[in-house]
Amino acid sequence: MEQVAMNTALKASESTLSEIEHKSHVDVNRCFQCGTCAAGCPVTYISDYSPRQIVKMLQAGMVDEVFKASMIWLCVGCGNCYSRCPRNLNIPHLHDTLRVLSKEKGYPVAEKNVDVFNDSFLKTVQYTGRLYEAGLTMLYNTRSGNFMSGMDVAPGMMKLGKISPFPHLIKGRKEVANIFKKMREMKGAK
Amino acid sequence: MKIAYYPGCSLESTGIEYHLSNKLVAKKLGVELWEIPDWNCCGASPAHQSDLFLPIALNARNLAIAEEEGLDVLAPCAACYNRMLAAVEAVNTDEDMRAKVNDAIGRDYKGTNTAVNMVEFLHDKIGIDKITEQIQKKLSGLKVACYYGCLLVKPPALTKFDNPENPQTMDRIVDALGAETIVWPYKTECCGGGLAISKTEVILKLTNEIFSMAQASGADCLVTACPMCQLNLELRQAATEKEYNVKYNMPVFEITELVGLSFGFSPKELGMHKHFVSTASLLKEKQFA
Ligand code: SF4
Ligand code: SF4
Repeated sequence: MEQVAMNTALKASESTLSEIEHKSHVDVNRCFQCGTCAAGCPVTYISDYSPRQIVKMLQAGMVDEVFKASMIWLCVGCGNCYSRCPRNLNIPHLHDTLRVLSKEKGYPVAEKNVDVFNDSFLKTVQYTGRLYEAGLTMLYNTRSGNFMSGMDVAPGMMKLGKISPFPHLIKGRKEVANIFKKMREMKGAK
Repeated sequence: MKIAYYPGCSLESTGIEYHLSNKLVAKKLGVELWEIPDWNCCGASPAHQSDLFLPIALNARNLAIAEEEGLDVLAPCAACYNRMLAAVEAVNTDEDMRAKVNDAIGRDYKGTNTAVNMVEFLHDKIGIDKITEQIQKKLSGLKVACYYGCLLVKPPALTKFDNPENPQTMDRIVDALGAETIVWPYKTECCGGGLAISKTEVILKLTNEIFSMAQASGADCLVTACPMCQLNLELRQAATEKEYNVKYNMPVFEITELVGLSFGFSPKELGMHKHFVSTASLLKEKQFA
């Protein structure tokens, strides 16, 4: 029975699995589940699944579960897993791909703060051409509801004169805005 | 020697001491740092976590400007360095991506140049001999834990630099300055930088592990070659000490700050008063200030 259920799951998720493989250039079937990736992963202790489990779930066709996993949001891209994997799976890039597809497909975001942070960061880059720290803090705090986030360290930053309250606007910000525009067009085009 | 210089966003704010030190050290070594005019942000982790095309295009714009000058890019931030390498690789291996990227940036980036990190620059491009020639003050008595972090050496398939588990290049530079490099196992453990704001508790745990190992191994300080590692390790050190009821009081230097110090620049010129963990007592104790 188990085997039958597994085959059904694989069949149902076939096109999504090939989309994941095509975009990530990672063939999950190469993994032989040694667990090296999980052992060296700095965030497994707070995530729902380990990188090894994410790969196993993909092998089994459990795409819904993977798209909803917190692991794909918590991965910091340190590259420990990829550096040590005896089968050479680029897991950080797999996680990047899963995160992008999960959002595109409308799955609930397992780690909202990570998503809000990324989005706020990129908003400042899109409008100014560079990271605008004070703007990022304001955007992130209001959108995440963590109004005091960063406030423990903000006075130190100000005292040392490290963070400017004003953005640095690059001359080529139209070019940068155009990169974001093309990205949105491509996302829409799919 | 002339090389394109991509400071990246941190070096103009939280990593200003690194920026100052790089410029002084480069000048002393006779290197012209050609700052990429009107550079844009590399997108850092938010870009590659949000889209597959965006990080490549953002980096390709900066790389293209340097390529037009026929220059490789020195990227002192390990995260910028890593993202640039990923863009070079993507443009060189994926025709379709190259076309899309060039259309978006309105330039013709060919992918003929590459990015170089700060340790690689000092160790491979300048060389220990040239560095040694400029030393005016040996950093004797300073016990240093070289912290390479993740993105300087990992993944090796991309960086092709040093060793991902036990790298040596930064240690060789620090040794040449007359300081004492300690042997320790956490040279490339992750400090969690990317989650600094959205999941701060992770940072406290990871940095605590790094500092407790450095302390147990006898280090006075850490040295890095990345403004993200440096900021992350210093900024939350007080919170980490409180959370785990420990005391580290361990400054984290950038490699060029130590090189600059041994070249005879004052701590003030190098921006060492701008650290979140005060460097004053250590510098005084070792008679460097
Ligand atoms: S290290 Fe590689 S082969 Fe081993 S479980 Fe992880 S992905 Fe699979
Ligand atoms: S790259 Fe991601 S999955 Fe791999 S070890 Fe680092 S945090 Fe874990």
